[in-house]
Amino acid sequence: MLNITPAVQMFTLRDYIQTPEGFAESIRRVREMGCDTVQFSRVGASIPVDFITDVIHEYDMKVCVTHSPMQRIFNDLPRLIQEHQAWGCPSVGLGNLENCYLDDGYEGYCRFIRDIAPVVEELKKNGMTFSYHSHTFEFVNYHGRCMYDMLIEETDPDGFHFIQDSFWMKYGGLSHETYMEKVAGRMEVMHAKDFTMMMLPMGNILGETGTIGEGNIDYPPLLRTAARTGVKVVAIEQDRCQRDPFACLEDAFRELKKLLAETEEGGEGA
Amino acid sequence: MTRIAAQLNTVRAYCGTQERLLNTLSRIRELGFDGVELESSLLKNADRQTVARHLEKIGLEVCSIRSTFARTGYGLEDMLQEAKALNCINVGVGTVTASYFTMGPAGMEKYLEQAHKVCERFSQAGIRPLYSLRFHEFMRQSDGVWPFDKLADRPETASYYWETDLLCLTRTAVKPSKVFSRLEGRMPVCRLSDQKIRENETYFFYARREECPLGEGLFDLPAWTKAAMQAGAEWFTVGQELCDREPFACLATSLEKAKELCL
Repeated sequence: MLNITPAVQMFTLRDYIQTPEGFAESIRRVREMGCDTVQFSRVGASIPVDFITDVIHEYDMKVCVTHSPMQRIFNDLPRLIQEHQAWGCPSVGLGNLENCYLDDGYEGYCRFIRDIAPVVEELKKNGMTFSYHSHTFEFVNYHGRCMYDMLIEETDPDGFHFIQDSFWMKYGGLSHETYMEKVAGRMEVMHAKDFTMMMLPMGNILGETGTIGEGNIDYPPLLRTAARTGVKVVAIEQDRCQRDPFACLEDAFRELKKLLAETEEGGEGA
Repeated sequence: MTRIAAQLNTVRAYCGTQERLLNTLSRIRELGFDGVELESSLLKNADRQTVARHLEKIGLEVCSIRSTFARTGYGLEDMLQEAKALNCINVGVGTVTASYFTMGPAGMEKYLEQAHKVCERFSQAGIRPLYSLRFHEFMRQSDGVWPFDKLADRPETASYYWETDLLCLTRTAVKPSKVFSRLEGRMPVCRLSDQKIRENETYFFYARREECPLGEGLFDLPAWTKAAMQAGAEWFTVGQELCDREPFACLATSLEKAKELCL
């Protein structure tokens, strides 16, 4: 049995959490699955913060990390910190590096590293961290160097942390275990979704996000490496669901709990 | 010791006539390759005996000849003759084709039945039927099973040998080393490849991926080539479907990396 908490990444339910009522109902349904930890992402911007706080307290729900809008991270950090503290959430996350950086290639990544440093510093002063969620585009190579490696090597290891995603690592053809090792001690939350395949014209294959247990990712070695490198929470997520997203999450959550219970420390990936 | 061959498909634009084909084979040898992975479709304009004599003269071995499964239906004897003429033991039987695959589990049964007949004839001729493992074998069908499981485990295809392809395997999210280990002793050919992320081309979070010469991309080649060698790979073939520079230059870069990996 691995000492990792299974959680739900609310991005999967983004269509349902744009109003106060939808948010409260979604949290209730997630809690009903037996899940007591969530990641906030794409929560409706018009929902009052106090309402969100009341709901998570009512359902005794923990918030492990967020994906927060980049503009707020840079321009509204004090309030963002207050909100996270009210939720007991230790890390402000960025879900996707935006085009104002990406479009400038190597220079853009250098600029992001410079710009985020004072944010990381401020979060540390408040006993918090910054968490960078990656897709695959960060693995582009400029001047002989992979940009994801640059993010690892040129940011503050104490305050700049990572959220890796099992699907996007596989999509890039990367060895996920190798990259978990590279960020050991700097990743408390990992995203888990499965990798299913759809056939396209001309024999091309589309890798699609799937419900854990229905695709091709071999989770036991991945989870062992996660546990060994300091991952505390694995949050299930599915970007596109072919059926009711709550049903997908319920199946994935059950499968993840089973995997965590049945996977022993040691062996491959440990 | 695993040897290194060039995938002729990479330089298919240079094989249009017999003269060009022979010249291309010479260039491959000059780059330092031990062998070549032929494509039957690229041999159509050439006389087999002439190609065989040329290969012997330049000292280039044929590691395998790729063909389609359809050809086993209309030209099986010709495939075997071609293999004998070119002194090649590994002869491609393609992959499960759409006509079988799209019929689900019942289609797979039909395929296995047909493949069994092919296997028997190949065995009689002393030639290895080489299955080209691609993507769709890892798409679960309505019975929840990978077609790969059936192909690897069923008695009908027990005499199949396997040609694996790193690019295809990584695109299915399976772990290449696990597939290699499962095919231990039955995987004489492994196609090596690498993949990089193209700059500034991301659509709905999907970054564009493209093939590149070995060592220029993101694949964990040391771990995967080691696993392939442990599984008994006799040949590594290198090449690309698409090249971002002159194809022979891509082959040369990949060869250097492959040699380093085989040390």
